[in-house]
Amino acid sequence: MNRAPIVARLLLGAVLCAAGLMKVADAWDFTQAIANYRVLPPVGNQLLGVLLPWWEIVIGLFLLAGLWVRASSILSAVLFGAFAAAVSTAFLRGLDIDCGCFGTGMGGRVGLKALAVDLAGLVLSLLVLWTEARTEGNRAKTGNPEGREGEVSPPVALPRTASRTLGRG
Amino acid sequence: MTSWVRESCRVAILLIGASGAALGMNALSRRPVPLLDPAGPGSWAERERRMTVDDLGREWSRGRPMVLLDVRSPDLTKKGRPRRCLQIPAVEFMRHYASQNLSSVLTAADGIVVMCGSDACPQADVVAASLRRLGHRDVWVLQGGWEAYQDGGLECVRP
Repeated sequence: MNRAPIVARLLLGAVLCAAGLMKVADAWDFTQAIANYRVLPPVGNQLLGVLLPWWEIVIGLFLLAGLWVRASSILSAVLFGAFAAAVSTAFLRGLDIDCGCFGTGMGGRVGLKALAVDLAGLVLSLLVLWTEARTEGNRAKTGNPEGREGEVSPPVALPRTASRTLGRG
Repeated sequence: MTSWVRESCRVAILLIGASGAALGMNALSRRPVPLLDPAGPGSWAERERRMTVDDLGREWSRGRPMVLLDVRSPDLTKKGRPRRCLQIPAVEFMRHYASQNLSSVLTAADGIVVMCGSDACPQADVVAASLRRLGHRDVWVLQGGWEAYQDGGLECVRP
């Protein structure tokens, strides 16, 4: 059994939970960190400063628990894609600001390192999403609830003759 | 229900649930972020008055007690900093202002110059605007920040 997708899912969930919790700890400063990107108006920065940490926490918890993995990994990919876009535009505009990736206390700056972290998160999210979609495809094709390739699940109801034979035994 | 409709519903439920939790926790927190307030946190820093490194050096050589406030993060200040400065990271400024009696130190000074990494760093403008709101009148931002300070020939401390 390939464990890479499971490790990727757990890693992604842990990173999202940790990032969300660090941001929740000081939402006021995180709101200012978003404003430093100079992309959204003040009201947008305030809304995102409040909502974004909790989106990360909830998505991270669902990934860790293995619930609604496909929906969680879609949202995770969208979040990491948006982070990567924000960091790269700030970097291209020459802004020397705190990236706010893990709250504002870590001192991480906007730059190639922050961009690499966001792209790694995006790749992990897509890997989890792809694995989940493939597993579901196999499940639909084979009727096997485990969804592994090459395995065909037995029919739910045994033929009448077989059940009679089994009953006699 | 097709798979994509089901996943879209789940995405919507996750987002709505998390947003509800976020708004509820914000309302219950000790320091809630004011929402829909254009003057609250998250407003863009306006460009404050600038002072060049040459002017700062001239004022110091005349004996004017101006305070230089370095608001860069600790990972940057440990690589080098001005010899005569107060070091307070921008993200912790308001906390320090309230707790360390910084107010009296800054009020006693004849002018405050806030310094960041470079002109591309908005934190100095944010702190300078906060200082003006707190009643300090003579507040400037050091033009070019730490990059200009190093080139300006004023005293630095390096590890």
